[in-house]
Amino acid sequence: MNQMWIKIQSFLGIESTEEQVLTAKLHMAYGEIRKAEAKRPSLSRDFDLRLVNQLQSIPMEQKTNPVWQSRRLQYAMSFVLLFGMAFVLTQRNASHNSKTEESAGVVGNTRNFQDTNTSVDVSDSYRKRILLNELKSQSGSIPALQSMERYYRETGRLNAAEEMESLRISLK
Amino acid sequence: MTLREKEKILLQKIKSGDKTAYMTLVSPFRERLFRKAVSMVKDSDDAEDIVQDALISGYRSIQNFRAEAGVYTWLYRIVVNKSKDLLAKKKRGKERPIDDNPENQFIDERVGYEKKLELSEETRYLMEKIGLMEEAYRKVLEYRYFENLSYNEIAALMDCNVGTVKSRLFKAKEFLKHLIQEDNRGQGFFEK
Repeated sequence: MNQMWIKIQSFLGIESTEEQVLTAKLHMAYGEIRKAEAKRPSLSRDFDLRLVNQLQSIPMEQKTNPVWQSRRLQYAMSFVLLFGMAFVLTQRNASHNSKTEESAGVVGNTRNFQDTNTSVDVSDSYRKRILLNELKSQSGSIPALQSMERYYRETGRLNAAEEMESLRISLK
Repeated sequence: MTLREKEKILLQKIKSGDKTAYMTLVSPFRERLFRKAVSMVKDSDDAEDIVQDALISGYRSIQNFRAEAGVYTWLYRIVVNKSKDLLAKKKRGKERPIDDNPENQFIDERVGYEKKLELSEETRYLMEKIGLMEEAYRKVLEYRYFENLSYNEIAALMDCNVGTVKSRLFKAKEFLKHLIQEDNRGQGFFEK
């Protein structure tokens, strides 16, 4: 809380009377030091002359480009990037080629089929009636239910297959 | 024309080979840089050599100088680094002790240097208290109130952002206030 208050105060520049006095005294103190220092020995008179003479023989360094502008570094980075992309693509392809059992989205990591129900809630009689009415109105419902039943049996989802079967029987 | 604009024009001239323009650029800062070097190495001859070296180094590398940071803060940093190098070299080689009094053996410390100046009691007291604070807080106070640098310039010198500078300055004053309030001698300090 105290930290937050300090941040807010510093952000808003809020100063209490004590801080204002302190700031003023800091200005005065450092100003006094500046004045006192100005009285102390300063640079020698021939400083400028010596400096100018030295500068005559000093060559100016050529402008160096920042590291990231180096062509070598750019090539190296491009190579690393390409290598990385190639690696990722190879790995992806390799994982596509791996033969996993057809899961239809119901296979877990263990490759064991999970025999779970479908999302069709047929226990509710009202909803079931609406569903059956809808299915009855569609001419291709029975073949579709048959093929789904077959698919679920083949993929080991027996509960789901039974649901399809019960729907198909109800339509008859 | 602002000081920064003048600096930019001079920098262009220098980069095209005008050596007198370099002298014009650095002359307003020579004495301040010298005083900073003296405060660190405590020897005016060494300090003069440091300033000369710093200005030569600055000239050499001016092609790479970007005008975002002010010329003074750029040269200030060179002077501070060169002063630190000299102090380290002296310490390693034990060429000459910096100060016989162990209390005054510090690096980059303006506070102790003030002991040798003729100052009022209050300023001396304030410097004594500032001397008890952490380096980051001492520095931010010095940059702000002694060097009269802007927040941006301080941020460039301290390698941090402006928000950090403001927060550090605020905390420095809070600590200083606390140190004074804790001290019996500080009674009446905050009375105008």
